[in-house]
Amino acid sequence: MVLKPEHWARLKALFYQAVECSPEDLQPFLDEHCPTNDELRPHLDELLAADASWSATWPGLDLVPVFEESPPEIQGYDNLRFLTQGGMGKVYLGRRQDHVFDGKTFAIKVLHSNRSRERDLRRFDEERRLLAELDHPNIVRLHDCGDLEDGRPYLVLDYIEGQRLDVYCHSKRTTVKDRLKLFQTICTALHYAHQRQVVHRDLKPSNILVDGEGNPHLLDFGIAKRIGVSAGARNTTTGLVPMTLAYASPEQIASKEVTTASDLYSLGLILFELLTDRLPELARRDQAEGIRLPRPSEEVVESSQAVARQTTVPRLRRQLQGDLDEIVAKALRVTPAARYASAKEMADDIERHLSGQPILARRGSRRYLMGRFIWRYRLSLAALCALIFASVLVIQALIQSQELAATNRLLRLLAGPQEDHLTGYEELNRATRDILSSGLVEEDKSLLLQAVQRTYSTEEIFVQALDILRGWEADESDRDGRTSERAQIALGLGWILFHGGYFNEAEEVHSTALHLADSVYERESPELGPYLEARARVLGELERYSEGIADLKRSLRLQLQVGPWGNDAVEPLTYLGSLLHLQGKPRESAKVLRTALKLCKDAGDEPRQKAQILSSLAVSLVEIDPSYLSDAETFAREALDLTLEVYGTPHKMTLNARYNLAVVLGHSGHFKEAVEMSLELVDETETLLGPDHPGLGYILTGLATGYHDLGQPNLCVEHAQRAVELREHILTPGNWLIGFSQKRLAFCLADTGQKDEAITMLRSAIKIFENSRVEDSVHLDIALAKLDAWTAESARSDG
Amino acid sequence: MSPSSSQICYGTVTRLLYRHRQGDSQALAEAISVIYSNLQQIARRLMAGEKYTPTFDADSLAQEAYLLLMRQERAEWHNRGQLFAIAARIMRRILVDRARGRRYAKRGGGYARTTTLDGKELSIRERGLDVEMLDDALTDLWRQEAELAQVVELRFFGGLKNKEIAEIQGVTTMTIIRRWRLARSWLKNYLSPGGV
Repeated sequence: MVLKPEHWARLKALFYQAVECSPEDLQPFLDEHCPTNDELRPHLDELLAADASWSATWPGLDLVPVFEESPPEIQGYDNLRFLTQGGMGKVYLGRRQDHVFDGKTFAIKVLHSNRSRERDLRRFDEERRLLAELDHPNIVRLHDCGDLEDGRPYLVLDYIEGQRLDVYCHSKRTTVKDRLKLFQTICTALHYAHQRQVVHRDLKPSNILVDGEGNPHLLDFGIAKRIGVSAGARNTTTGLVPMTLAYASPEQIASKEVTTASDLYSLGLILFELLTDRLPELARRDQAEGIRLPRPSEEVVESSQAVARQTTVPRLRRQLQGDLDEIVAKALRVTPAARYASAKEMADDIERHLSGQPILARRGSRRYLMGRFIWRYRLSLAALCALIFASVLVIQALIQSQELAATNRLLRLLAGPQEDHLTGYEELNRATRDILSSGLVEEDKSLLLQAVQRTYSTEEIFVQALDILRGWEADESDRDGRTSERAQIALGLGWILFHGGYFNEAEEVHSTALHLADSVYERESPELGPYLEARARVLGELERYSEGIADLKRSLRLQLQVGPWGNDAVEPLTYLGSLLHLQGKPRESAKVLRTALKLCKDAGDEPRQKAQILSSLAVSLVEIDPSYLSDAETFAREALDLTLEVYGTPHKMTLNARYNLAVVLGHSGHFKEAVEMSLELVDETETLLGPDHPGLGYILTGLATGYHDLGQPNLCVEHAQRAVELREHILTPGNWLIGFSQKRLAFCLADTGQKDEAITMLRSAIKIFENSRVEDSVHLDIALAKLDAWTAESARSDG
Repeated sequence: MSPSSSQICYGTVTRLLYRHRQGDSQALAEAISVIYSNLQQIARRLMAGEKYTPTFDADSLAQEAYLLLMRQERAEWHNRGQLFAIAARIMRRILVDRARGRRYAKRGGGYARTTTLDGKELSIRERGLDVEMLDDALTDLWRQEAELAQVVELRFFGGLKNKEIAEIQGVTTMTIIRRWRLARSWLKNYLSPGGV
């Protein structure tokens, strides 16, 4: 007999809860939740009776029990009894006979008798050595070790009387907050081991025991191995290590190099499980980067999950949405370098989450746009996302109701500067009202209202937006003559994604928009300009400078088709100037920016535009030739004045303008002023924008240059090092800016006489310059020349 | 079968399938060969206690399963879970088919092999479980909740451990233990006299 789904779901939930009740709790539980007059009670009784009498029935359905041999004899210990069996060996409990530990019980781990092959022995030896070096309250201590008479080695470890992590949390119905606290302690212990170059390699809930006082203990550094120890052995053994795949990282599954980052992946899975009782499907984990694993909040589906955490399903889901989803996602990145840098960093991020501060995992490393600090505070980002999602729904509804004009108006507002978002929000509300009073059927209206009221995760916005877009791309025949309107909506969506910091998705949408526009407008129509410029912005963000420059140049060429450049050319020229500067072409950049400046003047000198042009122009000029320095300083000061006028202080635009001025001052020989200004900027930026803001990379590098110029090489090294570390931490590996800071550091190191370190650092910078998309960079030329000089010098001094 | 050997076999299959996806054409055949040794072990467990007969020995069961599995090659193998799940399904089908064959033979259906059976059914029957009835029960349980039925199928016909089933279903071992507890209780009631 098959029960109705709703009955079955209830029966199931009752069964799961009832079997976990102690005998004395069972009757009260049944009376409360499924009294005898309940229609499901007979079913539940039957199931519980079957469960209780199971062991006598059909042993064939259960697995064959583990064969248990008699315990071995170990000198100095008595009362040995079998405890459990792991992948590497059997574990016995034993009592120490001597006076010091009189009567104390230890866990004794003995290698399998039938598996005493050389590899196991070697690994076991290593475990002895590693464990002896670890002394931490949350890592199981090694007390003694030796060999049995038959040659099998054994370890004597602290016996922790406790439950494995998952069982502990489940049986105690631990709240999410307490689980996070427990998890933080685990992170700290693992970090301690990582600092001593010990990788666990087999982290899983069964390797973490929680004692009676609620303290976790890490067990079984059984296959832990010192990083870098005997590289030859690594090649032959990684693939054969009997690890537990359920918690293995993609690189472990693919038998690649295993590092501390692999443990962090396992930690991510453990956290996933602690939050949801579930694990992402293994098969999806060894895929390429970009495959989206489920987020913890999406895995909250059963009431039992919420009950086990003393909360309700909607509450649990809300609790996980956002920060915790992102923290887990960051730990579960396929690329090891994209995960948390250390277990401590992960613990710190959880601390930030618990204390309501913005978390690291949500600060994208790509959200930096030269000359503009667009990183947002967590709250405003979340608000923006909610707004975007709501608007996507409204847009869908508008499209259905053929209200394309209203959609466009809305999108333009949302895509505008942030100050206009409020207007956008009002517009959104108005549009919602309009829709509700239009011809939509009742169900649609209530659905729409519900959706607008809820705050969705950002990913859902992509799915919605991209789905709409992909549908359009497939249908480009322009049967209904509305392709141009679709193109404009796509353009608006692209802007929204761009402003949310979702650059890859924005690039896809902008490419679609351009494709749609291409199919309706003539090939050389200036109407294509906005599409090209929008995509160029995204490409610049993605560090695809050449492609961005190509788009901007095409747009500017199209404008020339209809006449000389006017006000419309100012923005693309300004941005082209920025990209050329980023690409290491200061001369071209300055030329373009001067043109922009002239056009801006002709159009009445709009202060925001002008400030931006002057700022960019100033930093480009200083890199060309010392003869432009006084011009640069004039421009930088004027830009700062204008910025202060428009934005006031403190404001990120003002910080940026001051930074540019400091750079120019440094180049002009006003070292002291430049350094003082930069020191203030470091403090203010940290306070206003956070300690990992990309802008700090610029300021710190500039500060290092300043100290170099002031003849203080030690301070120079200190700040350059900070800049390199920060950029390596927040930017993608191989980013051109990392090379730039490394070059600075190399020069500083050379000043302090550390020639070898300087040469190594400079080589690393050169490698980045050579591999980056930045062509004909002056920085590469300078670095190569310097390297030649240094190596020649070393050769001379060696000779 | 020591616990660790199954674990290694399980991991090996993942790596082979990974290589298969990377374009190594040999890897899939290798993966299925590794599974063959697993199939043998399952077959031996299911057949344990059975008197040796030419038609019913464990190896022939494993071979039949292996051949059927190889024939599935047209399907795109993406993950080991899928492979093991289908292996379990195939095992179930063969066992049920064989049981039916025996039943027809007993009713005078004309199967030559009846003579060798001397009334003995599969050993699981001896332990109180009829494979055909189990199959029916699982089909019903599948309709009620597919995941529960799959736990039984993977355990019983696929020889997998809770941890491995957890990987396939993408849930934790704890969840599998709970599902198993519910599924077996449900099955017990379904199969016991007066049940259903």
